[in-house]
Amino acid sequence: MEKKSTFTKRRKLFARFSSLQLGKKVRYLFLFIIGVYLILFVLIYSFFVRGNLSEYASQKNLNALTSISGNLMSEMDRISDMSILTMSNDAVVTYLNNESETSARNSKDAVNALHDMMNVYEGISSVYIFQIDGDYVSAARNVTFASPDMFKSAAWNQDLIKKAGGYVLSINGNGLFLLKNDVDGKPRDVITFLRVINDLNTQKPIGYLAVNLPISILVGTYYDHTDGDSKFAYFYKDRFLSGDDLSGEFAKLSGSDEPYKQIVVGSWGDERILSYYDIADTPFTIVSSESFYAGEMISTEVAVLIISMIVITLAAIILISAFISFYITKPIKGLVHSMDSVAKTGGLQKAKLSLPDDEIGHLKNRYNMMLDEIDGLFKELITKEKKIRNAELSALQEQIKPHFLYNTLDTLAFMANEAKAKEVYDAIQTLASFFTNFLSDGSIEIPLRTEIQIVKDYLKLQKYRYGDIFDDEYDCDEKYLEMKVPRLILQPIIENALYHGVRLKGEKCIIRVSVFEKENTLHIVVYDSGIGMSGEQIAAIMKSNEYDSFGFKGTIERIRYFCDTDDVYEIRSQVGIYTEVDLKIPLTSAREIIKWNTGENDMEEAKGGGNDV
Amino acid sequence: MRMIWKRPKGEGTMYRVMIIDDEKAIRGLLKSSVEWNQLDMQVAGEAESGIEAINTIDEIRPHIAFVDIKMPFMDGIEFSKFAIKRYPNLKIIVLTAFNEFEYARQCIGIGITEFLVKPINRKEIQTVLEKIRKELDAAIPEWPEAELEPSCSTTAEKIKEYLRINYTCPDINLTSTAMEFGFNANYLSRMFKIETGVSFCDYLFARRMEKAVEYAGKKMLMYQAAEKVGIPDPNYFGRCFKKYTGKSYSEYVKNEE
Repeated sequence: MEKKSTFTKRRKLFARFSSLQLGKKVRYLFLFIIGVYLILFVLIYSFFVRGNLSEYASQKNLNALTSISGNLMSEMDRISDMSILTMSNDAVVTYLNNESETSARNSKDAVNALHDMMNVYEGISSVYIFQIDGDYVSAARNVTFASPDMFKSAAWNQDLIKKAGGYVLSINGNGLFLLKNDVDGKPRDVITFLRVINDLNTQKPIGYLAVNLPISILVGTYYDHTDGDSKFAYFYKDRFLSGDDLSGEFAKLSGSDEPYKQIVVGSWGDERILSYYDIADTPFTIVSSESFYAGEMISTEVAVLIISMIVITLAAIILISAFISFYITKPIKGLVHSMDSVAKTGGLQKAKLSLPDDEIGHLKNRYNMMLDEIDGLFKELITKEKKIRNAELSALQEQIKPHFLYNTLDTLAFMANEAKAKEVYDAIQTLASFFTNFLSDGSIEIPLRTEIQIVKDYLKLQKYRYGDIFDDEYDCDEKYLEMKVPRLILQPIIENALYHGVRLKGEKCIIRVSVFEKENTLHIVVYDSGIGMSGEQIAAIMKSNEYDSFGFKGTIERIRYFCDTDDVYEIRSQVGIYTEVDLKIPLTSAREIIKWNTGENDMEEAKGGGNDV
Repeated sequence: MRMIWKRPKGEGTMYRVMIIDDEKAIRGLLKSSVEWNQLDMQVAGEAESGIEAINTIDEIRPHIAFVDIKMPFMDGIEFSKFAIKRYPNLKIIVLTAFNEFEYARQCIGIGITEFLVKPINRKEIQTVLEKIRKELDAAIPEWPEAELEPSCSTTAEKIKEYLRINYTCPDINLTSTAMEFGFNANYLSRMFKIETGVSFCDYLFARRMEKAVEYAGKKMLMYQAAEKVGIPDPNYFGRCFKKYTGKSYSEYVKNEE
């Protein structure tokens, strides 16, 4: 279920990406590449650079710690050398050998020897020589009290004895010394250097030498290493002695038996190496915390290289993006825009873009060629359609076989005449005339005179049907009656006038046809005094969806096609009073003049129809 | 109240035929080309339009109606719908031109009895009429004759009031009013005549014409006045007006000047 939903989610995401615009797609792609770049960079850093870096830093850190412990040991070795000199001092030996009867002089000499030692080695806080029983002499810079009572305990010097002449380091002599308050009123711990003094001859212990050193001597051991971010601290067993506050780090590291330990802590970009180092033969531990970062590891040259690579990559991406935009996206957009305008307007405008001679340029050229081809096809189709129409029309005329109809009508007329039915004879004659002109041998264009004759016959026949409900009048300029017009442009308008104007009025009306020229336009006006039309009715008449080539709309369309202009009619009306349809045929165009001439030539033929106007 | 009265055909019963067509020639042709007597039928009346037919059908009381489909003001289909609702026993024969046939076919199912395609063919009419006569012979729907019940003049007053308000409706007539008041048409007609001294049709006619005269006085165009008084066929209206005033509408308007 969950799998399915992630699948559909992924598919949706892909679909959304697919439907993005090309420019956006490219942008998202580059964003993705940059993202991959960054992730790769981070991974490389995390798994390789960082590993090397921490290894290097750890080594460096270990070196520092070793060096610090070395410093301390050499300090102690110096003290040791000094102490050996002091131990072999005659005054000191005398003092220790005459343990039972220590004279004031002896002890004074010993003290002098101690003072000498202190003078040579300035870092010493105090020096003590203890006899085995606890008596002592000392030279001190006012720091400590001795408390030799502890000598009575058997165990106190075990460490010393183990060392067999070596020295033992401790803090405050593990209780041998009590601290005095320092100048600031606080006691200050000392490092106690303690060793056994043996008799030269018997090699038996005859006393002890203790040297107290201030804690501050420890600072000198790591001072050289405290650069920048590195921190050091000394611990005595679990107790903080000196240095930076690293108690927390100490707590993290201590607890193992190993004398040396390193761990790396912190998150990416803020990592530190924590180390723990037990100094051999001493109770001291050094704890360090050192940060390491790329800058330490990566040289300036490498950094410059990396940064310039990133910059070059970004620049390349921008360049490619610009390239794609300029050479691919923009031209395609332009092309699409051009195609859209074709889709919207329906006109076959070619794409007018100047494009380089590459694939997109070819695409444009192909597209334009395609438009040409479509245009050609359209034209071909129209020509074909016209041909088919003409063929159909002539086929239709063949079917009508009007001669049979005319002959029959003639026979009927004769019969009516014989029966002295004058009115019937007239009616049949009118019908025959009407049909002859109405069909006009299927001509698409006929003389205006014939057109008007059709109207006259039509109205006469309608009077037979509906009675004397109108008078028809004609006011035509002879000059224009031979001009050719599309067949049956007047009859449909007259029919409209009769059925939608005159018959609805219930009173006798007038239907008048006028033909005149005005401003180079031929006007054929059909007037009727019927019920008229409202503005809405006039507007609706051309909006009707019904298409019938001999309805009003179809008739207007045929005239428009004939005149090659849209402005071919006008309807004027007053509700209840009249309607006037004004057909306007421009006389100016060259085409009309040709028609006019051919009209003259066809005069004979038109008259051959036998119609009087 | 619409009832079907049936009774076996008696001697001398003639079926009444009404012809509704806007062309006088077609009406004449129908009348002259059928041997009505042989079919026990007679042409009892004609109407030039659906509007006229609504106004006269209650007097003509036809069993059979020829209705032309294409008429101005109210076409044959529209008229047939009214007629079928009001006169369920009426046999309607619709006349349709060839190119209107598709239109006419849409009206199958509204209760039209037959369709005849123009131009009119005498034989076809004969066949159709014979078929209809057989149907009528089986059960004659009779225009009912009703016994006059004792009524009150208030009903007649109510009907007068109803007509005074509704005379502008072109489809109002005796039967529709009877249906409205829950009477049968015959009863209403007789009761109205007895109570008021005028026939229902004359009363409605007079109401309309009074109003028409008023409009003529205001020089309103005739076809507009016709529509306003509930006779939206100006030809029929014109005849009504002349019958009422003795003058044609236009003469009347002229004389007013």
